[in-house]
Amino acid sequence: MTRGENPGPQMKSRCGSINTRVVPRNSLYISIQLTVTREPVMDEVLFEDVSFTYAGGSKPAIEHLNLKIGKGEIVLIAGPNAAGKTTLCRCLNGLVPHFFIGDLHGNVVIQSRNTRDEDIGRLSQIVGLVFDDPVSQLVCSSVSDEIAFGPENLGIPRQEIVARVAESIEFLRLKGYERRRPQFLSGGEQQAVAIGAVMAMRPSIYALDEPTSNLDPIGSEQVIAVVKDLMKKENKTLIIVSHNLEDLATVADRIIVLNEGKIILDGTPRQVFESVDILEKIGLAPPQVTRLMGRLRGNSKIASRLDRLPLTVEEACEILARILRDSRYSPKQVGRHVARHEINKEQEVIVEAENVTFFYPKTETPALKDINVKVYHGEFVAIIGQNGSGKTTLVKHFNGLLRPTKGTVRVKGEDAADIPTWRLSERVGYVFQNPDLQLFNTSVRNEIAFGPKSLKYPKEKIDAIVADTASRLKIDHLLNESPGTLDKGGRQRTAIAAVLALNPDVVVVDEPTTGQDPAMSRQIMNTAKQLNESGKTIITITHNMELASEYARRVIVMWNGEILIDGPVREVFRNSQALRQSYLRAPQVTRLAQALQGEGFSIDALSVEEMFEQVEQGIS
Amino acid sequence: MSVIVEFLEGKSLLHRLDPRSKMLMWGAFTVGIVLISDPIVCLALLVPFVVWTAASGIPLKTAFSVYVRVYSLIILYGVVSLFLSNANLAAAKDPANIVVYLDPIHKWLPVTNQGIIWDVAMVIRFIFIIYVLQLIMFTTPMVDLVLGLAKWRVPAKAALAMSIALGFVPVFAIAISTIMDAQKCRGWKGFESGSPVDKIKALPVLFTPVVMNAITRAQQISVAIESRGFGHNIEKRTWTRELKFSAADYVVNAISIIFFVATNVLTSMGYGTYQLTYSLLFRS
Repeated sequence: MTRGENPGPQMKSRCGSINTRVVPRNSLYISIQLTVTREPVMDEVLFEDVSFTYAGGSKPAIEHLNLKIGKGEIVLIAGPNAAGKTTLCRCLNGLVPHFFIGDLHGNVVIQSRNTRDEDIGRLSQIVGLVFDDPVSQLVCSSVSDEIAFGPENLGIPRQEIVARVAESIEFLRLKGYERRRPQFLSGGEQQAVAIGAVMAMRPSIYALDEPTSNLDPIGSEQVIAVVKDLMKKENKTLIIVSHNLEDLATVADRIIVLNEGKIILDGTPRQVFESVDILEKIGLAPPQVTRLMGRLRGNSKIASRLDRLPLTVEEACEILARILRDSRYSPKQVGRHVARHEINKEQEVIVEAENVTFFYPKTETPALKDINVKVYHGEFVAIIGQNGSGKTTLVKHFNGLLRPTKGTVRVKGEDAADIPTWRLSERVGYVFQNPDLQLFNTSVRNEIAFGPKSLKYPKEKIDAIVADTASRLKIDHLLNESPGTLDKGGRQRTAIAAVLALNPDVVVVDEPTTGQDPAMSRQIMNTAKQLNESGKTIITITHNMELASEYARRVIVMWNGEILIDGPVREVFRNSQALRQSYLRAPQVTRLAQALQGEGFSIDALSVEEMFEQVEQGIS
Repeated sequence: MSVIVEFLEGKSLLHRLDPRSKMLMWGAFTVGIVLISDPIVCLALLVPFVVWTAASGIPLKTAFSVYVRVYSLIILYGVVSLFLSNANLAAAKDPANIVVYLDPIHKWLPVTNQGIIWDVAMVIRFIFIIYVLQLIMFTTPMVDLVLGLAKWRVPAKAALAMSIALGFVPVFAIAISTIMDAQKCRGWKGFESGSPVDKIKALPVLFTPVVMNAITRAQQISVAIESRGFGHNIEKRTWTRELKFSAADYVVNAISIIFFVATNVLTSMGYGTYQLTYSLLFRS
């Protein structure tokens, strides 16, 4: 990855490459380009003291934003929830203020056009927007219709559209998919189609709003590969909003960090990641190795040997190996993480699948193939794997949302076959990814009381449950509020409380990280951890390896309807071959520790914290 | 859980026909069959379409599965139309025609032989109209239907909006079933048990999340399509797919028109009424 090693100069060469661009095909496009190249120095994107408050909003989504983005720059925009990232994207093509109305101050100028004076249709020919949810942006019945949709709206001649569709298909390497329904593709493919569809409109600026946040690891990789191709081939301005700093740190020329509507950091990735502590404080997840080395910098023995913070595992390995050698590192046993070495089989088996095979209706291939698994009381299990590997299908068997085609599921020793889900919900609670799928009551109190009422608990018991659950989730001050008025974190906690109200032994947390910002994901995992410490068994499904390795004691890797590996977290993340087979990767620090073992240092780490302790104690 | 009839890929003649020909065919046959009230003729007209279904590579099981879902509606339709039909009322004047009374004690609600025949025709007509419509939906991508409508001067924006909305029906269906699952996980008993009152009481549990979800989704979709130039200069919109009549289209259109004219003429001359079957069955 040559770009990542040296972002600075690359950026200059990108900016200077205006003259070398290929001759565009279509006349409309040439005319736009000519107006651009006639100007000697030209900002593609210019925000002049821009503030915007949505109609009905109480405070501005973005505030006094000043920003210049030059032609050919690749800009990563990061920030926690509600930092104004999406609003910024919406300003680029005039969705703000023409679609989302509100109070706009200052000027947004795209290629010397003020967005106030243009309409979205015209701006969409300059700025192509791609959104986070693939399903809500694909509207046609075949991939080629989807790609043609934009150019058709613009009234491009038919032959030209046909050529553009072919080009997009080839670019995305989706030959043979032309007639497929976009709705039936995998998430990664769908998002690729969404990018190809925008590409066919020949914008000179691409704005991708969290293009990977709803995807599994394979899908994310696929989309990042498309983004990289886009950079190479098109040489266009790219603005990417993402929480995936780890993968995009080495792709971007420049990172802009937003917080509460304001720009707080702006610079090359290296410059921005130097402020790793600020990034962590506002709830972002910089690459683990950067965080690790940032913390190690606090140690005076290391600080003197550390001239820059690494962004990749390779770089970190090189730097850390040198430091460890120079400071004569000797490993010290760090005691408090040992618990995660083994599975405690003494405990009661709380849910169990025996030879479970499952077919979805009207399908030929099994979604689960002869699964055998036992979950013991008090465990914290993470199930990882790609979409379609059978994770959710398996877990939905534990509370009767699905029933095995063959085999048996036992909950607390009892065959679950004849127990309805609402009855099982007192044993296995299931927290869905999106709290808004569950909340409907007028107050948080009623929301929590709904389950117990529905199961006809006596009134005094319900009151006690509400009080207890609310205090456990720290929402007791919100009991009289309407869930709809709470922020996302509050709604998430209310939904968890609603499930806990039935006092289940097992709590399933489905995809707590998908579509969330890192701070929110961590919050949910911390809640799960507290529940686990108070005696609940936790099963979580996640795509986030960092959180899985940090929180879980046992990890199950699924692939293609089967369990590939099942063991203590330490053992599973050591098995890089099995992980590779399911297209997963151990978290950065784990890989770093493994790489250092290759350099002769005996280190084993599942989290930044653990790695930090091992290195620091081994040195002093 | 598919609510709407899905397009099934294929290369058959029916797939290749111009959507306008197919829509014309549906219109002509719908009007035609409404004029015919003879069950034998109605059934005879359905047969070629069933054969055509099989010839177009569409499993008959799929084609008829819709009736399994709406059978209660068909029965209701059959019962109501029986007692409201003029044929039944007229025939009831002659006691010889009466087969049975629904209320034998008071001799109320007579059911006559002619009424039954007429009613059977009604039900077959109902089935026929749905059948031909879904046959077209099976073999025509939504965009083509929209394009066909646009060529007929239906406003492009309305036609496109309709096709996008229809395309999202399965997505909403998935959302609804996820919401039902999510509620069951917190002790909701669903629609499976309890009295009808309980079932109605259970509705608000779904209502708020479903509506909120639909609103969010609708906004996401409109943001996405606006960002791709939807509605921009709509009169000049390009339609990539070309519609062209082939020889087969002319043949099919000719058949549709002939059928339309013929049924109009023949039924006005008194052919094709339930009397034909009646005389075959009872007056031979």
